[in-house]
Amino acid sequence: MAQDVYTVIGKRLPRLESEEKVSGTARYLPDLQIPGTLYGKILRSPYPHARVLRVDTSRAERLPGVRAAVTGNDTKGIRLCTFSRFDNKPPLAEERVRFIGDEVAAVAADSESIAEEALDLIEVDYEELPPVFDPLEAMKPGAVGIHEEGNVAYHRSWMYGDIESALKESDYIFEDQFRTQAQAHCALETHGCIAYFDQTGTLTVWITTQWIHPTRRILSETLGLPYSKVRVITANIGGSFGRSGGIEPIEIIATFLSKKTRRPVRIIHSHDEQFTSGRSRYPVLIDIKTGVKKDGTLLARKVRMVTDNGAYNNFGIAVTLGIGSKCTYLWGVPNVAFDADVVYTNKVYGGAFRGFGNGQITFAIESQMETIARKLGMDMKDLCLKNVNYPGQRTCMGHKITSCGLKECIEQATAAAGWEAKRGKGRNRGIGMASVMHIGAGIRNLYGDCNLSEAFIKMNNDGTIDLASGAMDTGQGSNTVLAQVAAEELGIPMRDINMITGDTSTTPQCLGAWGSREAFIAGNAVKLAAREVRLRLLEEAGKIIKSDPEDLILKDRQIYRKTNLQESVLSIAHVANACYNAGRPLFGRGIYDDPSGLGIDPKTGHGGPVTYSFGTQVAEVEVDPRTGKVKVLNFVAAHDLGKAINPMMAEGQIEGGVIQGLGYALFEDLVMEEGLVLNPNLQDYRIPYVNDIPKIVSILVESQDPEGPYGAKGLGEPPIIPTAAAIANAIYDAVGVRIKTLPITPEKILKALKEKEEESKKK
Amino acid sequence: MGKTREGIMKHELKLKVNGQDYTLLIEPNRTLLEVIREDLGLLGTKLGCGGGECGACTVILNSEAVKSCIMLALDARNQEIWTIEGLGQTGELHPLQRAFVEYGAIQCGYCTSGMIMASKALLDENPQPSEQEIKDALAGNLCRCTGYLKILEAISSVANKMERK
Amino acid sequence: MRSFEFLEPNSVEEACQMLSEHGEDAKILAGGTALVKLIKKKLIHPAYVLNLKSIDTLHFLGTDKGDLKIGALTTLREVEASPLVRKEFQPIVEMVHLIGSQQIRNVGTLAGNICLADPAADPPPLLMALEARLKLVSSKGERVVGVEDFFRGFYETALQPGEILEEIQIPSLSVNSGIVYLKHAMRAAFDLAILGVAVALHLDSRSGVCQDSKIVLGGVITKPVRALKAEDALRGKVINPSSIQEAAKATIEGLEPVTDIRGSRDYRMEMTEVFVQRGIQMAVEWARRGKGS
Repeated sequence: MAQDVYTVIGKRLPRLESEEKVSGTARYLPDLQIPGTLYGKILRSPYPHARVLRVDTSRAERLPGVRAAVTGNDTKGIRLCTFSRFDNKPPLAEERVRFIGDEVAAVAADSESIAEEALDLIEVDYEELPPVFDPLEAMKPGAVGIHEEGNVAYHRSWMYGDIESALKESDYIFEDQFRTQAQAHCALETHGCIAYFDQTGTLTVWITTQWIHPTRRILSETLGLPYSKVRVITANIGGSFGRSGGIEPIEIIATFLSKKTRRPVRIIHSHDEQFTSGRSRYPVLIDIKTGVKKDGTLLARKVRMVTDNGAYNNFGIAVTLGIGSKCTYLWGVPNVAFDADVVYTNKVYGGAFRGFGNGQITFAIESQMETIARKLGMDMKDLCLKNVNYPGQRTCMGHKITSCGLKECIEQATAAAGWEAKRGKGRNRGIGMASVMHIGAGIRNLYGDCNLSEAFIKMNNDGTIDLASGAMDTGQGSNTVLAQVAAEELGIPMRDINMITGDTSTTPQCLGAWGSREAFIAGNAVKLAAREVRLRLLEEAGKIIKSDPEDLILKDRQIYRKTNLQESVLSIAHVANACYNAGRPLFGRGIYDDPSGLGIDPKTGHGGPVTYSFGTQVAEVEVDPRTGKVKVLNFVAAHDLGKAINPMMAEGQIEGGVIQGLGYALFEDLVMEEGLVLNPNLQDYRIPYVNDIPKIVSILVESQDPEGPYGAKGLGEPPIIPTAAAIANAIYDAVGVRIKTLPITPEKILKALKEKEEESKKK
Repeated sequence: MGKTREGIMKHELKLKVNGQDYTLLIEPNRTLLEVIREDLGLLGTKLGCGGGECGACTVILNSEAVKSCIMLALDARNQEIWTIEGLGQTGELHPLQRAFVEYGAIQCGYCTSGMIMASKALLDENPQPSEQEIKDALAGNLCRCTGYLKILEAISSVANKMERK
Repeated sequence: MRSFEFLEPNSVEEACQMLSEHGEDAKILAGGTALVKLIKKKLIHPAYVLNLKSIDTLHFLGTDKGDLKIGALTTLREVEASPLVRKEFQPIVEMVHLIGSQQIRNVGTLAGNICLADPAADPPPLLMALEARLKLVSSKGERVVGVEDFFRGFYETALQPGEILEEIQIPSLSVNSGIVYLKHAMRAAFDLAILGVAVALHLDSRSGVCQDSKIVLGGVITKPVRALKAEDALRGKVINPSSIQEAAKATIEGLEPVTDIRGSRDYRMEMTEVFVQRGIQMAVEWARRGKGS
């Protein structure tokens, strides 16, 4: 194919900032030392639901070393923002607290220990209110109201096609209920910020955020400051996975404290604060009804779900709407109905998390798919291939699928996993598969009417470049991918590129890292910017050597005639310098907005993507039938990413995603009792460590997206999405029990095995 | 000897870090991690969970990997400590650091110092560890980004090259 | 973390004296991995921390008439890596390897682990099965306590105010004994146990009949506990699937396991039976292969 044509694209290059990271010189937010910094700490509600009658910070303020305190009075009226009319979280409680951990007051002091001591001196009078923790209970008439409008934050119901007819036409109908848990991001670095007003009076906030420009917009609009007086910057970020795709109370609180003290204020979530008061994946209850013909054709998919929103709105509604539209994706079901309630409970509220709801619905769809296959006497692989999505297909919403490598993913993943040889072989070992169809490049209308990214390239006199992009690298490697695109277009090495990202003052617009969009959207913007520079370079070079620019190419910092690649005619530096001296330094600007034109769908309330990413994962497990413990032996993950700009980094995304998915499937659960998180630490909130991992074979399927840069599309999220279902299906193959709630613990398996045994005894 | 705000005695702390000798006067409730980062300005060692569970704070103390966030600084008195900065810098990377770079064993980088120091301690003691021995040495180091595989590959690649002492 | 005074006694006597003087306000620092974590989490607030590390006499590992003696400052790593322990007390090496992670074992001490008395800790059940003894010293003198009498409850031991655990004594392992420690945890490493089972079987060299056994459960209730009914069920019997099953069933009679974040009561009940069964099975295999000592 076109593989050998590229110099840099498709190469296993180490990421740009590797050397800093291995030397310990890479700087993260806690490493920043700004003179005069004060340390902020937050007083949080000990009650899941209460009126706040009085908050008195005067004693705290008198403690030597405390420089200021803020309460809900200071931040009154502000609502934390996801650009939605549903935003209702105040940075600090006004008249009510609604979960254990809800922010009530804050202080800034000379040291962290003084700040902590000061918290004990803040007096708060609460009047406890009855709490409700279960969304189904919260929905019942007469349940205590958490918000003015009641406990249903949002309801949506829609249908594409004709579900009832489709169900009537079906030979079999399957109905199952699935329940998923709250998963904590557990990025190694907790969320934090440092806020100050610089010498020009510009509010400057360092945040561990994955979207600087939307954050700048939020801060500006929320605080009534002109954009030009707000600057959002990031250092290196120690992981994110969606956690910082929103705005957090500490960002507003630190700003207010900084305003009062006229000093920088640093607030970093402690490790357990991150668990108890930080964001997590929304738990959902899904009832899925699927109608299928006896030849395996899926006709109908009816989904009813309840999202446990937690105490306030964040991304609960968007995630739910996203789940709705995902019901129209995998297996191209022509008739889809969706009905959902997003319900408040007096618990810590969720947020965006890698997958944005698709993990939850895919667990349901793919678990049920295996049940369907077995009932029909079909192999799951064949059932999937029967219904497989394909290039050019239109979803029931009428959205067109362009590039699609799902068939290849299914075939290659199952082949590599030894599907036929291992399926149904007993001895407590089993193999299971699950697939994913996800958005491949973000969507429009989630954070604005567009889905844009912009890039600037300045070529310096010596032929090196400064590349500025508003995209964010939280560790997933977007900086490297963007640099590879520029390096390829301009024929320069990676080390000649100065990446400028993470600062709203020096970068152009981009909506940031979410929805697996950066390789595609930001990549295209960089490609366009680089193309502009390249065209001018070649034009100028053509003038200098009196040649048609069409006959010239850029390679290894040099300009060559296409007809003679042995001898360069000019160096890039020479031309760049010449342009500068002629008063026209080389500069390129690329803007890319996804061309799908798909706005918010009037039925689903969610946007549509310009392209989709696909994948299939196969898990091989061994179950100890006496303890219920599951060991994942082998794992294969085939993902269609359009084109692997950097295969080594793509594998890294897959491996990391699969392991996070394994944690979601088997171990992780933010356990709450009466609204209190019982396991806010890594001993009891179980994440996979190195001894828990299987061998993972990653297969990169390249369907060559027609619109993506070099054919690339997104890979950030898909790897975490089908993992739980693949493991659940493997467990079924191994020991014949179907666990429909996550995480799949040994206890659940043991209980199910006992029930199965009793059932068979009755027969 | 100085005293803190609350009247607690400060103690003299002599230690050797990355080959350099230091004499400090510190409060007893300071952890080794805090002293390394705040007093010595060596920011490469990270604060992760603060409770000895994630391993991001791993340094080498007298040839053994330890979690510096749950060690009192005074407990390291007169000992020799190596942090990531003592291993190698850009341009002169240690084989382990170079392997992490080449094998793509880094994503966000927050666990990286801890992983490298834990594996350095292993390789110093056992230059040709088995795969399981490598995993056991890293059993207390969390990575949320990479899924560990490339980290193991990177360390294995160095292990196979080093000769048995 | 909250501040405290840091005291560094140079001898055991001095340490005991300081401990008596400050009573509940003082905590001992041996390895410190648990201590620092507890202070940071605000679960304890000592005004004084007594660092034992200057007391070289507490740092030893050796045998005395065949018995293994481990000093208060001996790290878990030193126990794990000791050629002596590997040769003569192999089951202890295997158990220690299951504790925490390398970094924790490099610093944490066996003595510290014992004095913390975490109900899910790994050493207590095995040490009880091995009939280990603990030498406790104070300004008033010294006493030796059987490990079985040391664990009183949830993080509660028999240590009196002013007492320090100076030495752990483990009797030599006899020939014809099979000793095993099994840990059931959700993750492959690093986890605290859902439960742990230690089995020490002493078989008659000719008949293979079980002369005596010690079967100890950890992490099931708030302290390690002997499964006396199981031991009774095995005594004088040939160990075979039937007697093993009987012993395992007997273990759970009247047992009231806890429910916590790691497992429910019912699950622990079932797992106790499973792991007692597995433990005895493995122990008898080891004994038959002559690997018990």
